[in-house]
Parts: sequence; structure tokens; C-alpha cells
Amino acid sequence: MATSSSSDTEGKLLSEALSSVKIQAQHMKRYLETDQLMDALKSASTMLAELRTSSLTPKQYYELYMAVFDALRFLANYLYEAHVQDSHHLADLYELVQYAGNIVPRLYLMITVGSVYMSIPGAPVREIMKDMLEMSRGVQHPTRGLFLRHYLSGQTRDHLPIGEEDSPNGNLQDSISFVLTNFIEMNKLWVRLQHQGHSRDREKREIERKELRILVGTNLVRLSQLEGVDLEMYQKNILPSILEQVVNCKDVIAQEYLMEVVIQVFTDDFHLHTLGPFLSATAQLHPKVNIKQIVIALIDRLAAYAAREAENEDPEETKRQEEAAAKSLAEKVNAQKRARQNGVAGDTANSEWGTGLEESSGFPQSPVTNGDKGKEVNNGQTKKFRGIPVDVRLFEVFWQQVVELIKARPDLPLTDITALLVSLTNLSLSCYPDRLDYVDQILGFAHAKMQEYKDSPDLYAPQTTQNLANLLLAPVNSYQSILTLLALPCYPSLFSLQPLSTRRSLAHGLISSVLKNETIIETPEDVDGVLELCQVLIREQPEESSHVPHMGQYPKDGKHLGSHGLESEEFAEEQGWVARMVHLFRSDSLDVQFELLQRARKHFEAGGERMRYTFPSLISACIKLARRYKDSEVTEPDWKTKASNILKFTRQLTSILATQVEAPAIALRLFLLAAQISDECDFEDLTYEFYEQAFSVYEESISESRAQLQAIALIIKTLHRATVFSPDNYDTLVTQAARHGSRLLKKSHQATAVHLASHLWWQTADSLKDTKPKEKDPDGDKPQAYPHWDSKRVLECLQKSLRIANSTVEEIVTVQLYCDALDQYLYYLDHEAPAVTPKFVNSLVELITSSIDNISSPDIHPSARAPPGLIEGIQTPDMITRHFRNTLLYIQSRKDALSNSPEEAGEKIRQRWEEVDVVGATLKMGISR
Amino acid sequence: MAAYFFASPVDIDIKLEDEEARKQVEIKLEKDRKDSCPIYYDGESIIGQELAAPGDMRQAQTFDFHFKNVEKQYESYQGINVKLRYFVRLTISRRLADVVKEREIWVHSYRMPSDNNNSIKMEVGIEDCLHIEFEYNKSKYHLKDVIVGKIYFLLVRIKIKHMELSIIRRETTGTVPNQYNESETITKFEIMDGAPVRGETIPIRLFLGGFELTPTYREVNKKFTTRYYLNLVLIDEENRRYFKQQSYPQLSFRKSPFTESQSQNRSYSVIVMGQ
Repeated sequence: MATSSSSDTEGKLLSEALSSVKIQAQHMKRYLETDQLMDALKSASTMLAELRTSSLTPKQYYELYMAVFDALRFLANYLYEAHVQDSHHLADLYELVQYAGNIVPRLYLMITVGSVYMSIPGAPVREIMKDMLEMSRGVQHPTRGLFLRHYLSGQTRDHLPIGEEDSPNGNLQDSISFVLTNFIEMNKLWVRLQHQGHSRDREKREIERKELRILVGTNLVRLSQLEGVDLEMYQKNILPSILEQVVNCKDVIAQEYLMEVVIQVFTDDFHLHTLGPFLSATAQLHPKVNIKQIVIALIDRLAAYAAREAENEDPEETKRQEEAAAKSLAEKVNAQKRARQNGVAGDTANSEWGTGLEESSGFPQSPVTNGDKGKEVNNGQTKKFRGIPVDVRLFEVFWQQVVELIKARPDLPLTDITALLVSLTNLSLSCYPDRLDYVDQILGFAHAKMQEYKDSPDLYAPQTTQNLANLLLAPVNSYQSILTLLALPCYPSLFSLQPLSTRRSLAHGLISSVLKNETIIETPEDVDGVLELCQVLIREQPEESSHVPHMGQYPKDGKHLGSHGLESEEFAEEQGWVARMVHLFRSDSLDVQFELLQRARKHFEAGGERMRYTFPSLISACIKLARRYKDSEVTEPDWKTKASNILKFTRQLTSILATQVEAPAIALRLFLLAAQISDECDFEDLTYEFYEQAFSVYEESISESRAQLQAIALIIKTLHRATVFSPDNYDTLVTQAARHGSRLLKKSHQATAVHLASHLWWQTADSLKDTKPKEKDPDGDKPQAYPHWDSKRVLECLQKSLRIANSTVEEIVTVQLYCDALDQYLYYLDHEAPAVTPKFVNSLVELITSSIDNISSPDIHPSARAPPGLIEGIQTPDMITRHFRNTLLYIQSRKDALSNSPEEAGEKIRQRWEEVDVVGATLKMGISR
Repeated sequence: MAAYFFASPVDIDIKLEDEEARKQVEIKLEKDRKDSCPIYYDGESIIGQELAAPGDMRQAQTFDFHFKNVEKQYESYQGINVKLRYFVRLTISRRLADVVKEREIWVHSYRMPSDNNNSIKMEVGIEDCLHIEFEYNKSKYHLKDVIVGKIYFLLVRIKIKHMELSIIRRETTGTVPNQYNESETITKFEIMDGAPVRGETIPIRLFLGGFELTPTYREVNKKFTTRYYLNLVLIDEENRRYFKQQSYPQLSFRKSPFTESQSQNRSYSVIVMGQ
């Protein structure tokens, strides 16, 4: 209530002040136009008196200041002209304006005159600067002082001397100390603002201070823009003065802001050479200062610089460096891995780096030698890698300072520590991509910290968790191949300490990196390593969140697996990624490949419901491998045993799929696929076994009628191409298939299955050509079922199918089935099945022709449908009619083709086709010739 | 002839030699009128035309005069209650009534500055409340001088709003039992805005040349005394003023009389800051 009215008053005060400024500025300009300088100065002074107010907020005061500023610019221009034309000497005016009775207007006028005077060649610049700076002390009110000094800084900016010689005209040193002093004084005023007024207004005051901070920060910008400032001046004078002020002011807002400004405004090169002093000043800041943010800002800035430099470099050079780094990285990865395999490195690495951490200053010596031998050798004259001079041990300096900081400030929350570590990791990854030891060192440190905070709730703060996740994610995103991670001894151990949700999202990251980069994982150890890291996605989690207080993300853990809705969709997608990764387990050596798959199986086996998604891809991979063995039969003498082992392995996997996770449909398909390969490999027993499995899956697990139809169709189609069987086996299987087909529940399904089953007795001829050269039975002792031709059985099937079709109640269904059967008849007509003669075709065509009208008669509702069979969406009367028409057209075109070019097919076929008579039907269906 | 007797019989104009070349001083007459008159120094001759012998004056006539090396012991002065004037009076004696004409001149005199002109440094304060140290670069200032100094805050426990320096003229007239004092503020000059913290140093610089000051006069002809005081005033946020002799002697500026002494060619007045 009070605030709104007070802000109204302030608004009113501001507009009054602004209008007064406007009026006085007009007067001033008019006087200046008529060269009445004294009067003009009086108006200016009256105008400036408005700046004496204490009733405005900083924002409003700024608005007022800007209005005054514009008017003063006009005055300054006049003063310059007047001086140049010898009508008023600026030295006289500088004294004259000092008669102003009030200090604020007086100082603004002094600065206006003084800074114009500074622009005159030969002016006693040094003295003027000193005087203005000194006299400005008279304004001790924070807001007014800040604006006054801001004016001082802005007006003098373009006239600061940058020469070197020591003269009354001033030099660069004078300018530096001028800006520095002004900065220090402004900061004092700014900090003082914090301690004014009631403590209940603290929040408001802090907001106001934040609004004013830019005035203070501008000084640092000026310093950074001073021409001729070199590293030495920065190192010896500028930075120490700034840091001293920042540390001594003991004000949280100022320290946070100014450190940030220092980082942002000075060049990267300066920072690179002053890391030590900067960071040790950081350690001395107020305990409430967000130190982490400062250090991170610096690290990020330098990391970005390195990245930028890398871009700016000659692309060739960059490429060479990257390659060298990648190569050196790869070497290290390999060395690390080798060592790990020998079971040594884990210990040595840990002890080396572990002790390093405890002593905190004891930085491992290896980098030194490394840096010399490494990548920079190529790059003699610049001596830089990614913009970082070789002599600046960026990471090491940061590492040391950060560790000291953490030690010196035990109150630093874990959140901040972890955030620092994230930044360090990013720095290391972007500046020293090949330095695995750096990253590992950080991870090790994080690990130690996690142990240390094991019982503290801090460890479970969301931000900490997030930081740790980022810490682990950064290398995932940075390294081209996540296999590099496996070379970091501390990675898995830190990883395993993370809560489930973190591990889950990291696993997502890992897998998507693998998929995106198409990282080939070619050794069993790597498969183990990767799958171990992704374990959370692969294995059933035992009561997942019991020891982690706030997981939050998967509250219904365990239940989501089988349940519907979004969660199960997400689950399926996630498992889909895992499954896709299986195809990247690839080795040139077939034996190793088998090993890879076996390892993968061990992991996937523990996945429970997850196997539904992971096993199919694993099984496909196995089948693929079996086929590779088959393809290598020439070079691999022992291929048969191996292939059969794999197929047995496949069978196990598929059985698990079928029984444990209830995925019969897919299991059935995979059995059949495996059967095909096994067939190709000539393993009769194994193939039989696969069919047997397929049938049992069908019998035991597939109950929905349409699924049954589809399953049977699939079995028939596969069997149709089976070549390996003896007549007995083949007969058993086909009879079984046909019997299942004829026992389907729905008549329409029966009819479909039965006419499909006809193919089992008329195996395809072109596969015959393939088998011909196959010296399958040199000993010839084994009777072969293939190719099995028995046209009587074919006809029987077809006729049976028609009978079933006829017995359905709905005419539309009957007709549809007739049409389907007609297609089969024509097929066999063409494939020279002797029992299937043209007269069957003719009478079937006649039959359909006579009943086709009924299905589209008005008695039948237009939405009438036959029940869906193998294919959906073709059951409308319209569709059926069209089907029939197309068939008739086909018959016609076939007949025409054969009569036009008789030599194209055998005499027998031509004859058969000639006997087909569809004239009546074509007339009926309105097909003209 | 009657007109000759009743109207003012003559127009008299007193002209001084080299009048135009002399320095002039503006003096305030009653109301807003001002007049300007030439400046002479002690012992300087005032030269005009020699006077005429008795006789008839029928037409415009000019007479030279010359008062050689006149002693002018005091400076001209125009204060609140006191006016010290020098003028040339011309009297034409006649039978019926004399004709009198006066012409004022303004007198300045020089004195040598005394050698003793040290800086003044003093620590003043209110116990546990305010403790400052101030310093002026001289103890005596001439009329065109600049007062330079600084104020060092040793302890600040009051909320100061601003600080100003004022110059006060105090004129004392009459003799002891019937003495009469009157003060006048010549200028108020703000030297600090806002509240300083401990350790802050505030600079002082005040140009005197622009103000209407006179030298300090002491017991001029046993008639009057004029002194100048430099007053440092601190005003706090409740508009309380902290200064000066009455309540806090430590904070006060003691008498600061202006004296004048002769020097080569220019006026040299001095504010003496002392006990």
C-alpha cells in the first residue's frame, strides 16, 4: 500500500525534475547561442541542482542523469569551440565553475570543463585528471557519487593519455591509475549502499545495488579498452589492485559481480597468465560468495577460448593436432586396457592418482613428460595447443587451485564442489582431449568425495546429483567412442555409486552415443564393459529405490514394465535402443563374434521382461552369424560344428523368448527364420527341431484365431521352401501344417489356410534350379523329399477349400474365398500341376460370375464386410468385385500373350490356357476386348 | 537676473587627473543605485586644478588643484552600520549661500603579509560521536587567494547529510559599554554531499576572489572592527547543525580577521586564521 503510493510520488518527482531539466537546458542553449556564457553556466548549474535529489530510485535517477547528460554534451561542444576560437580559455572556466555553491553541480561542471580541456593539445592533462579525481571525493552519497564518477569516467574516456614519456600531458600509467582509483572509489560507494537505511529494506536495497552495478563494472571495461596495456602492466599493477579492492571490500554482491566482470572483460591471454593470483584471490572471498560460479566462469571462458582457437587455426593444422591427439588418446586407451587386462593398472593408477588427491598438491608427474613428447612437437613456432600456450599448465593450475579451494573452504557445499569438477572436466576435455589421466583424476576425486559424504543428505540434493550426472556425461559426449570411457579406471566405480535415475539417463547417453557414432564394439571385454555401464537398462533391478531416498523419477518401479500407457511406451523405446546396439557388437572374426553374442546373452538374460525387446535382436544377430559361417564354408573347415553350435544357441535363446517372456509370435518367426538358415546349412535334425519348436509354440501359446491363421501361413510358406528333409520328416511336417490349417476356428480362415497348404505339395520350381548343382548327397544314401510334387493332393486341397468356402453363411465371404481360390487355380495352371485342369478354372469362374451380383445387391448393407483374413482392408464388396475383374483381365492378357507368341511357353501350357474360357464372365463384368 | 539667484547658479564637475586610467571600485548607494569611484592609496597625491581667486564666473571654467601626498590612514569601507569615506569637497563661497560639491574617492592601502603564515591543523569532535581533523594550508589569506584544505574523518557516528563552509563577516561598532555586533554571511559553500565513512578524506578548495571581502579591520579610529570567520558546518539527516564556537569550541573557527598590508602593486589582504 505504502509502496505503490510512494512509487507514484517518485514518479511525480521524476517528471517534475525532468521538466525542470528540460527548461533549464533550453535556457542554457539559448544563452550559449548568444554567447552569454555566464548566464548559460548559471542555467546549467540550476539544471544540475536537480541531481541533488535523494528521492528517486536508482532507475529514475539514471533517467534524470541521462537527460542532464544530453544537455551537458551540448555545453561541452560549445566550450571546445569557444576555447579554440580564443573567446574563453578553459583554464579560466575551470576556476570559474568552482564558485558554484553546491557540490554536485559544481563537480559536474568541473568535469565537463576539465574533460574538454583534456582534449586540447598541450593541456596539463595529468593535473586536471588528478584534480577532478580528488575533488570528486566531496560526493559521498552512494548513488550521486556513483553517477558523478560514472560521468567522470565517461567524459574522460576518449582523452586519457596513452603515451609513454613522463610529462605534464600525462601517460598511460596516469590513465591506469586514474581509472583504477575511480574504480576503487566507486566500488566503495557501491558497497556502502548496502549498509544504509533499515535492515528491513535489505532486499530492495540489493535490487537497487544490482541495478547500479554496471556503473562500477564499466571502469573495468575502460581498463580493458585502454590502448597499450600489456600483460606486464596487467600482471603487476592492474589485476593486483583490482583483486585487492575486491577482496577487501568484503561484500558478497560486489565480489561476485566484479570477479565475473574481470573474467569477462580482460583477454584470455591475460587470464592464462594470471590464473594463480586470480584463483587465490577467489579463495579469500566472503564465505557466502558463490565461488564455484566464479571459477566455473573462468574455466568455461578458457575452455571456450580453446575451442574457438581450435576453429581459428589453420584447418590442416587443427586436423593434424586432432589426429595426433586422437592417436595419442587411442594409444593410451589401449595401454590402459592392456594394463587393465593384466590386472595391474587398476591398482597402480588408483594408488598414483589416489595419493595425489590426498596430498592435494601432489600432482602426478606424468603430465610433464607427456606434454613434451605430445602433440605440440608438430607445432614448433606457436607453441600452442588449442590456443593454450604450452608453458601454461592450464589444467594443472586449475586443479591445484580448486583442490586447495576445497580444502581451504570446508563449508563449500558438495553441490559447488561437484559443479567445479564438471567444469574442470569440460576444460580438460576441450583443451587436453587426449589426457585421460586428467579426467580420471577428476572422477577419482569425485569418487572420494562421494564416499566422504556418503552419510550426508547433501549427496542427494538434486543439484549435486545432476552435477555428478553431468560429470559422467561430459566424457560420453566428448569422446568419439565411448570405449574410451572403459579405459578410465575410475569411471565405472563412480558410475556405480550414482542413483538409479542418474545411471539410467547416463545409460541413455551412452547408448545414443554408440548408436550415433556407430561405434563398433569388437571385443568381449568391451561388450562386458558397455553392458555393465548400461546395466540399469538391461537387468532387472532389485527393489530399485530402497536405499535412495528420493528417486522420484520412477515411483512405480517394477510395475511399469508390464503396464500400459506412456511408461511402457518409453520402456519399449529404451529397450529398442539397447536392442539396436546389439547390431554394433561386430567382429571380423566369426569366433570372436560368437563370443560377443554369448557375453551379451549373459547380460540380457538377467533382464526379465526386457528380454522381450533385447532377445530378438540378439537372435537375429546369431542367425546372421550362422549364415556367415555358412558363407565361409570354403575357408573354414570346421564351419559345420560351429554353425550348428550357434543354431543350438539360437534355439535356446528363442525358447527362452517363447516361454519366459511370452512373446510367442516373435519366437515363432525367429524359429522359422532359424529353420531356414539351418535348412541352408543342411542340418536336417536341427531344422526339424526348429519346426517342431515352431509348432509347439503355435500349439501352446498362440490362441487368437487370426494370429493362428498368420502363424500357419508363415509355417506353410517356410516349409514350402524346405529342402533338407527326408520324405518321412517332410510328410510329418506338412501333414501337421495342413491339419492345423484345417482346424482353424473360422471357416474363412480354414479355407485360406487350406488353399495355402496346397503349396506344400507343389514346391517351387525355381528353388529347384538352386538345388540342382548342389552336390548334396555324393553318397546318395539319403532319400530326399525335395522337390515334393503331388498334384492330386494339391487339387484335393483346393477343392476342400472351395467346399469350406461354400459352407460359410455369408455370401460375401464365400465369394471372396472363391476369388482367392481362383488365383491359386490359375497359379497351378501355370505351374503345370497336372491334376489342376482348365475345366476347374472355367467352372469356378462361372460360379463366381453367377454369385458376384449378390454381394453388391441392395439387400446387402454397403458397410458389409467379410471378416479379415491374412490381409486387412480388402473385404468390401467393391474390393472383391474389383479383385475378380482384375483376375479376369489377367486371364485374358495371358491367353492373348500365349496366342501371339506361342514359342514363349511350352506347348502344354499353351494348350491349358487355351482351354480356359472366360468369355461369359468378361461380358458379365463388362470387360470389352 | 532673478533666475540667476534662485536656480542653482553653477554646474560643477570635479575631475581627477588620470581618472579613467585608475582602478575603479563600485560602491553601493541607497537602494540599488551604484556609483563607481577611483581608487587611491595612502600617501598618494590627489591632483586636480588649482583653485580660482575671487571674481565673477560668467562661463565654464576649469581649475586645477593638487593635494600633495595626502595621508589616508584608513581604507574606505562600507559595512552594515559603518561607512568610512574619503571625498574632495569644493566650496564656492558667495554672499548668499555657498555652493558645495563633493566627489568621493575610494582608498585602499597595502601592507606586507606577515611572515608567519603556517598551515592550520586541528582535531575537533564530539565524544563518541564525531571526530574529525581538518587542515587549512595557510593561516592568512589575501583577498584573491584560494583556501585549500582537507577534512579527515576519524569517527563518524552521526548520519551526515552534507557539510559546508561559510564565510561570515562580523562588524563591531561603538565603544565598550555600548558595543554593537552584527554578522553577515558572505557565502555558503557546500564541500561534501552525503555521509562519509571513517577514514575518508574530503578536499576543500574555495576561491575567494569572487566574493566581496575587505581586509580585516581592527579598532579603526576606535570606532569599529570588522572580522571574517570561516565556519565549517556539518548537517545531519535531522537537519541538526554541528559547528562553531557557541556549543562546541573544538569545532569552532576562531577569529579570522582580514588585515591589509602594502605590497608592490596590488592589493593584498589577508585573512588571519589564529587564536
